[in-house]
Amino acid sequence: MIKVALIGNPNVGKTTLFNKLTGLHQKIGNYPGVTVDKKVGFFNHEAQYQLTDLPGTYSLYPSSQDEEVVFNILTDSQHPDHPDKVIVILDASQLRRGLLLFHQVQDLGFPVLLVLNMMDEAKKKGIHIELDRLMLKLSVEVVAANVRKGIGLSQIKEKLIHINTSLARRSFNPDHSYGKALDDFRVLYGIKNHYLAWAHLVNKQSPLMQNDAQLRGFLRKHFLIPKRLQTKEILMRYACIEKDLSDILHEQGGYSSRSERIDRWVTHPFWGYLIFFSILFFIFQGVYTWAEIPKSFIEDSFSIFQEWMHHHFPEGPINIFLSQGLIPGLSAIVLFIPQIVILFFFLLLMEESGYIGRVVFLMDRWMRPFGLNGKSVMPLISGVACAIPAVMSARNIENPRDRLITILVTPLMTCSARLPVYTLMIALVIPDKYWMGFQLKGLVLMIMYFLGVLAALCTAMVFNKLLRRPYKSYLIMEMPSYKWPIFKHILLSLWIRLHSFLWHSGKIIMAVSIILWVLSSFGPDEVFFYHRQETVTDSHPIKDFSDPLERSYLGIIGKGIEPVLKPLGYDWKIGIGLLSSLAAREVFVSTMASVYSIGSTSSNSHLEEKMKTATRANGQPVYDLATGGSLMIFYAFAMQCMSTLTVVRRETKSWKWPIVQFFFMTGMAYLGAFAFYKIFS
Amino acid sequence: MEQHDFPAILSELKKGQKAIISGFSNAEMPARFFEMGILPGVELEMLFKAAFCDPLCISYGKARCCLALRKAEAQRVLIVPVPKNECDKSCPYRES
Repeated sequence: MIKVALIGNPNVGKTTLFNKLTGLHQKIGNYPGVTVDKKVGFFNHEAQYQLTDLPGTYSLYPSSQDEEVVFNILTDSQHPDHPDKVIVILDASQLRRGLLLFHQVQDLGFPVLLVLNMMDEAKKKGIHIELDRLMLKLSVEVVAANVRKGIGLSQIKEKLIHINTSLARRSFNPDHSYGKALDDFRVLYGIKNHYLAWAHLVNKQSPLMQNDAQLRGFLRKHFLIPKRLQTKEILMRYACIEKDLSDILHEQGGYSSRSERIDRWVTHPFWGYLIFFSILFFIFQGVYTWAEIPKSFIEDSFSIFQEWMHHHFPEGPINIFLSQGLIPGLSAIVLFIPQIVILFFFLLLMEESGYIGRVVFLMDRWMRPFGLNGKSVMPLISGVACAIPAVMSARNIENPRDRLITILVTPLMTCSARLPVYTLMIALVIPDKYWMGFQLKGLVLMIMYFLGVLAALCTAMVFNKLLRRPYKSYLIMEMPSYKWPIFKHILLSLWIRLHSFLWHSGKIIMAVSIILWVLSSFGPDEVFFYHRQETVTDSHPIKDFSDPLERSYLGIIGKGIEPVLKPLGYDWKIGIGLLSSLAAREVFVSTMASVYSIGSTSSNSHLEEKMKTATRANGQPVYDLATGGSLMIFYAFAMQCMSTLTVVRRETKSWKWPIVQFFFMTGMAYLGAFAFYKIFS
Repeated sequence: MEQHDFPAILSELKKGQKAIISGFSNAEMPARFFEMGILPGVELEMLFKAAFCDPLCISYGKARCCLALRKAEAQRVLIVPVPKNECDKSCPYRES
């Protein structure tokens, strides 16, 4: 197996090349100790290749965690992913910048294949590159390609076999003033390659160098400042590249006039925002209306399947487990698919076309006071539909700290699963009146949405104060020119994300659903699942249990936690609702329906009637403004969503952050609900 | 002397104006900017600015690539404006 690393600047088509070469033969793993996705794929062409897609970077020296991975893999020959060969891909219209990275990789001594991507686009811009001379000058095999259209792929595979170190390389030669220091350093650490030694000297983050008093002494002795060396290297390399390219690169024109015309509107301080919010409005209409159809289809087919299963399997515990524990759990996972697919389709469309860069540009200033940046906007806004795809879309944020904050606060946005709870509570406790010409119920719902945004931004501010800053926050973002999106690429990315959700989060959602089912079906006294009604009305794991629920483990737990919930104005029935909705918030409504012994959850009006007439021991109604409002506040803040927690775990690569998130959100919810109840009761 | 020769800073450049980078102010500049090719001697043009002139978008270098950056960083980039008509020798900035 030949190990090949794929490296390049961001936005040069690196991932597209990776996808084209490996197709679906790829897997996403972890690099030990960091929250960076490791994408590895496989392909055959006369030999077996293992291709690693390294994070996009502009140089070997890291300014983020992702880029540390690049440095470590390339400089540490003991690293399990240390490549045998490297493909450097660059944007033909940004030749200089790409060559900076190329030279660094080449100087480390790797056999390199250079891919000039987006050749025809460069040609359109009036850029002409003399490939033969470039090859000679750089002593490297060059392939001119257009990866998006599949041009040059076979050539890449063909040439990859033949590249080897035998081509004469020009090695890195810094100023003579550093020669002595570099030689000393190489002896000291036993490094052969000149440039490798230099790279270790420059990079403060290098694992070889950390906490090394010897190195600090060395730097002091030779009057070396790593940052200066880095700047020096960049300047030298650019000067060299400029000289090399003088008779190879012929260019005229520049930034595409089409993009410029579009940007005049799209980044306009007024029209830009209007366009952006119109697009958002359209997407959310789409998510809400279009997702409904497949959603109800999935619900229906699962209940038919459940019915069929129930009748065609032999009676007994296995039958009950399958039809009431397993299948509802499965459907709870599948139910998220329509929303994820629709939301991601639009997000990927915005990404492919280049529009997302403009959103970042427009929103950056507004997000900064909260410790977020422009790239946090899309995850936060997507959180209004569903936190799961929203948290996943935070991957676009390169700065790990900004990304973490975004992931932590996104679930506070009012997601669509909170809506059934809000509507039920508003119907119960908010009077049907008008206030200043506005319908009060609608107004309260709007306030709940604002509360979500406010909570998310304020918490972001708090995290911004608490979390340490490993890298300075700045924005430097290339504005890609607009492109027509290619649907095949969107579908592939969509599939990869969906797959990762189904596989990694599905398992846990499943487990939690089953645990909740077990708790609600068994009690210490008896096994009563045989007595349960077999009507299947929806896909939620807990349903249609009347009396036995009180005697089940879940009921006992509900009663057990009643003292804790009493200050919020809740009784044990609401407690059960809270517990069971840990699987998903909207389960609260169906659980309430079961608790109040209503055969079918589809008729919410019946449920409202029942809940309205529910009274406390002293004859007061349970659902007054204080309790209802406190419950809404609780749901606004509480992390009542296992699926989101599992996705957060998957995205942050540790249980630490989902646990932190669970406790701070539940804490906020408890305090908020408590305060509300105390004030209004 | 300060009046004419003192270089302007990038964040003050107006939309559509061109300039040449002359250097960087003392404050430390992230190395990333150098790596992207924002170096002394490179010509740039202000393309457009967001609300509050922050962030801003420039195109720079012979490749005319289009880049967004924040005002805080743009304030550290020292520039010598290029007159609209490049042959215009009467521009006071050309003396230095």
